[in-house]
Amino acid sequence: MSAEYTLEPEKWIERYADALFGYAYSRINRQDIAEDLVQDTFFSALKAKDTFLFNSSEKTWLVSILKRKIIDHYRKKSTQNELNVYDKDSKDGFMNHFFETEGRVDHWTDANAPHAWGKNFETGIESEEFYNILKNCLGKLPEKWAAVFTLKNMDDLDSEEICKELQIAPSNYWVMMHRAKLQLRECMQINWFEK
Amino acid sequence: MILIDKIMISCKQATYLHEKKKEGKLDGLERLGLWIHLLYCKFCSRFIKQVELIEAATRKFYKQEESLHLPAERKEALKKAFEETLNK
Repeated sequence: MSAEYTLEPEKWIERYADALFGYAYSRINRQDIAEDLVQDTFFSALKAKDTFLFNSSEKTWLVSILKRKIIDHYRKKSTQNELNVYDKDSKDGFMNHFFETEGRVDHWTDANAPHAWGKNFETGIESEEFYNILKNCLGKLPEKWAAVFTLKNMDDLDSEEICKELQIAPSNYWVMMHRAKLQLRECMQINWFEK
Repeated sequence: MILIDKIMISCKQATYLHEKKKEGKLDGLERLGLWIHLLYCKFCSRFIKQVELIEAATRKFYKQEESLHLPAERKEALKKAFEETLNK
């Protein structure tokens, strides 16, 4: 016998507001935007309640609506500044921070090559403090870079799915992911591993 | 000459190609170039190891969701607005 799923909108907020907020906030890293997306989700769900197919739980259904909203939010961000990430040439200040422009061109600069982290660098990496710093560093990435990194690592999508969702070209995806990692690693080095 | 150029890649290329490698998106020459580069470049090897550590930690990050709460004030306001819509 299969379970029967029902919708009880009058109980939604009490039951799911925190869970949906947690889901959104851990992916967006902006309190105000996460709150707005949760609010939108409840109202959209109410409007769409006739499309509920009774084949999943109420919560799963609400999360799927929120998920769409998060992706739409990312997508808006990724189309706004799309052009900026295409310039891979050497006049690129971001890349010049990490890689030489003269001599051993495109090899790590002495100043900003990855440092060896201490022997016990894995200590505490699941602590709350570590996650706060990680969240901060993710929050410092341009939103479109954070979006590809987050979709990949928290939602477990592959590059093709991410390109489709964000409507970006594969080459653009790889460039953004590369940069996200360069910046994120350095930020974590400065604020956690060498603190 | 051109072949050598393709195989002797820079750190910028190596860190970029590593990303694509994880999804099996490299051609033979790129794979060879990356493999050779990582044999001698301690910075890129280090970069990859460190980034993987951060990614693994990020994947566990979702656990934190459960401890987050929508601020009480916002929740109350939302409840009120939502009930009004429900009762319309």
